[in-house]
Amino acid sequence: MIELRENEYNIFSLLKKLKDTISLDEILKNTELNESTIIKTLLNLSKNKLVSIIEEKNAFLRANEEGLKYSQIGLPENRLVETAISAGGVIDLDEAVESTHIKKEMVPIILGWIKKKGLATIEGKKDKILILATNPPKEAAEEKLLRILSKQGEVNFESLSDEMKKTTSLLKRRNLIEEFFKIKRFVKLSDKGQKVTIDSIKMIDGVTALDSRMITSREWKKVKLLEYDVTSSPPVIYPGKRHFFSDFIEEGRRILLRMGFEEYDGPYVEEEFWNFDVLFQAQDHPAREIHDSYMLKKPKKGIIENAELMERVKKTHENGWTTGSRGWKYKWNSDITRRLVLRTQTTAVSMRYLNEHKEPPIKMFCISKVFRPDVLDSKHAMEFTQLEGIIGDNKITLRHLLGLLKNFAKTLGLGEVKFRPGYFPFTEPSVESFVKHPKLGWVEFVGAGMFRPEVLKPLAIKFPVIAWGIGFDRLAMIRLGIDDIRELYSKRLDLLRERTL
Amino acid sequence: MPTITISYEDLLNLLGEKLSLKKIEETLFLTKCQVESLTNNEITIEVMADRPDLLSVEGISRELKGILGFEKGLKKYKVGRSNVKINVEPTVEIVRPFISSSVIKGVTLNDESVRQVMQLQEKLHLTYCRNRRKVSIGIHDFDTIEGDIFYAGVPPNRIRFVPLDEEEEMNGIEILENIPKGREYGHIIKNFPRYPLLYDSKGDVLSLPPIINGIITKITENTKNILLDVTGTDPDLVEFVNNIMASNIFERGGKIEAVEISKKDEIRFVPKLDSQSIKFRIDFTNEILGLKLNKTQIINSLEKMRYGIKTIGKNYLEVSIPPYRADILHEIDIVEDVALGYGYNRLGPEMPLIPTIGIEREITSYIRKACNIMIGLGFQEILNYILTNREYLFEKMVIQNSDVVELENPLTSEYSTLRNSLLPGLINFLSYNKHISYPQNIFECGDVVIYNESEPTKTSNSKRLTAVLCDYRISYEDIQSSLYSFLKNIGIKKWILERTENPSFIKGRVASIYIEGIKNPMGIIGEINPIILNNFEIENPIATFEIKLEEMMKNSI
Repeated sequence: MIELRENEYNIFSLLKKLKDTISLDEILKNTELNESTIIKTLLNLSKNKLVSIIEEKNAFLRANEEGLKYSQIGLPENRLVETAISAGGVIDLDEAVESTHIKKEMVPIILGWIKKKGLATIEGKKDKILILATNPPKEAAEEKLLRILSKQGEVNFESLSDEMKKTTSLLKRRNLIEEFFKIKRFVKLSDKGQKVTIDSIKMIDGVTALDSRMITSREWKKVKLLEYDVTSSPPVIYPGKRHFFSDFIEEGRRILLRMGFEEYDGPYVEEEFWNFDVLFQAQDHPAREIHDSYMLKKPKKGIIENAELMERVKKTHENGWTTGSRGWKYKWNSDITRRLVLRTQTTAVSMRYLNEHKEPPIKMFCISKVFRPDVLDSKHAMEFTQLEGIIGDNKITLRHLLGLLKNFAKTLGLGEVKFRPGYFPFTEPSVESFVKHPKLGWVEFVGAGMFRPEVLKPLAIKFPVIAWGIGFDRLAMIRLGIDDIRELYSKRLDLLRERTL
Repeated sequence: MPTITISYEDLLNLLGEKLSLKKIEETLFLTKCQVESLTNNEITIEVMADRPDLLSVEGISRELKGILGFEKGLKKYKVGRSNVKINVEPTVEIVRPFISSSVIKGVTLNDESVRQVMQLQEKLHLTYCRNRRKVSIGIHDFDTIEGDIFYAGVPPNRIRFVPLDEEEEMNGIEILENIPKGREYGHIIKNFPRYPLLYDSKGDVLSLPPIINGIITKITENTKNILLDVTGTDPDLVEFVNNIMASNIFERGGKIEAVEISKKDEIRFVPKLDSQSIKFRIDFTNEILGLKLNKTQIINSLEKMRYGIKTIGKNYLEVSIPPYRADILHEIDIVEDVALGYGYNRLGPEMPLIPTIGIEREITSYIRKACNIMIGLGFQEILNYILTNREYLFEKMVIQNSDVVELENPLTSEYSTLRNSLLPGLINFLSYNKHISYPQNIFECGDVVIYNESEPTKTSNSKRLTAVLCDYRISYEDIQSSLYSFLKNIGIKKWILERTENPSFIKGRVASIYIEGIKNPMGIIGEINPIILNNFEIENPIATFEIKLEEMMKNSI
């Protein structure tokens, strides 16, 4: 006589009824049980030698961040050739690279693909290289596969056509897709299971779930509570939780609050006045050009409310005003200063804070977004998070700045720190600091310095101010072991669910 | 930051001392330039933007000599007289009015030194000269020039010469159109009726600044005497660039001679290469650096940085600034050089002990509370970029285009607009996760940017919280339960939902969220219109709410 528990009995009966080899999914569909209970039950049945479990390992593919990007905009070699076609069949390489925003270091590889695939002719001429193309590129097999992957998320390798299968290895080599494995379980009746009839099986008497009625009526005393396999895996649940990057930002914030800093922030859309002019960056400074700042189509211009401050800033730029500086010696333009840009540095926030807080001591920090024109790839992003801090007091010095940075790095769990001179238009003296990373070696950690008199005096700040700014994304990548900056804003829910806090 | 390449052997020759690569690397790390890579004899060096004088091996050698104590203090430049005269014609005034020049005689050029001079010229052009717009430099073989030189504005069709590296004679228009440098820099002078031209008494063209030199004055290894022309739109920069070029070339020996610049009634002799003096305070320096350096220590540090020093009283020094130092605007710039001369590695970090109490922004604490409640309700936080595009915000959401902050110079259309709502980002996120197990309950808490005429910046950041439920089956009630639980726990006493219409939501399954007694809605709740699900290729229903956190905070208990 074979004894089975209720779940085992039900699944065994189902298998008897269906006869064939069936997948776990089918059992899921035909019972009220969840996946992990089914697996547990099947394991018990197989221990009794009534069923055999067959495991099938399947290769799956999905596109990585780079691959997803190419699935939308096309492969770089095709894009280069397309620009040649739209320029009338021939284009200067540098020009094509610039208009397609392809990174310089990728160019030799891409030219290799163009040659290999015969998409266009490449001609070296004196100091330049030309791309000559006659036919627009057809959709490459790689693009086709990437499109399938981006649409379906993940794809079973075996479900692909032969052509697509071949393309897989190409995309793997180009590091655009990743392969992973999933195990699919099937179950069938064993020889013994075939022979055993349902009638010959006895369902074990006993209770699985203890309920309120049994407790209050004392009925539990009369029944047997079945024993469980207490070591088997439970169903997976995903808790609600913070995003790991928010969590890291919170950590940075906590440290600065503990050190006694006051949090502050300002608008993303900022006047050039606060973003550059108050910071003594001349109006023809390269950082103010369209390659380095996002300008707005609309709205275009803001209002500078403090006319007196504006006048002082103007004079400081033009001739140094009473700051003791030579100034930049040019005609300052009040139209330029009103232009709106996306904030390129959180130092703009420090300026707004100093304008409101003129009594020492002051200790302020800001963790917020800044924006600079860049094409999103594994190393670059068009918006990123900066941590900015300032301390102003009558006796604050350069050595204090170094001391603070050293302690801050230590509190963040970073190793040894070293300092060297730096240059920023708004600080003097300026400092760059590096931290020692176990794998990467010395990594740039922070840019810092003491605000110039040309910055402080127009704001009527009468004491020295030390300031520092940290690229918080890069810091997070170092601390969290992330190689691709896009992962901080990843669209993969599974990755967020798996990532520990 | 600009990088330059120098030869190790050449650097040692200039230094006149044997120094290991390691020692050079360590020493430069504590200056305004840094070794980026080393290969055999080649050293690649990154130079900070404030020190254009370090953009060639000669400048770096001069700096190293000072820091290592081989040669300290201000370098004196003896400027003789050449017989060269540049006549500046009024016709050049509107296009490129300023010119300076130097003659350096008796130079011995070889492959490497020619490369360094060219590199210095090129890197100065790129950085300090703002891509030749503000200043440009021409280098000529002095012995090919005859008689006086003229700097004049000439109509482009009357300019004719063979440009450097070309074989045929061209006119001004052809040069701008046909040769690479003309296409690259032509825009600087193109719109002027006359182009700036430098030619000698025979009419031979030295250069068409800022585009290209003539072929006749080309320098070679056999060149013994050099003439520099430096032209531009900023008189101070023109002089500085001339000083940097002349003093760096002079590091290799030779004789500097002045050129007479004659403009209307005004006659000048350049380069001056004398130094400006500045009154410098010892106590101020120590206050800034946090050190207790005595006068001797400060003088020693400054001499290492190649300044000239005179003592004037107990607390004051008179500091002479080297003529190639274009970055000294203020006493504070010399204070930094004291720190450089002293050594950043010797400053000694000191923790500032200023007792203050940490203060968090009110909205930050409120957001933390909001996130905690959402997490308790089982939602996973996600993050999206602030930058997005019209297609996501409007077209896919079937919303009429409304006012939104748009970029003038986006690099890709994907990131060309600032988001004015979090919802499209969350829906787009879900479209990437169709194969991941359900339910997918996510939320985002972050900034959107909206028009706001009452702000000086015409816009304002606004903190939003948006929650999304997505599962095989979802009901309006499910999201309503989440919202109610959220509102109650965040401290809203009484709220009211009012039926509304919104094309992104299913008709009759969308409401505005009000707080009792407040006129404007605090948010919206509802079930997403299936058109939108199709637009984003999402296969399961979505219900959502989005609320305005700042306004809500003002009305929370």
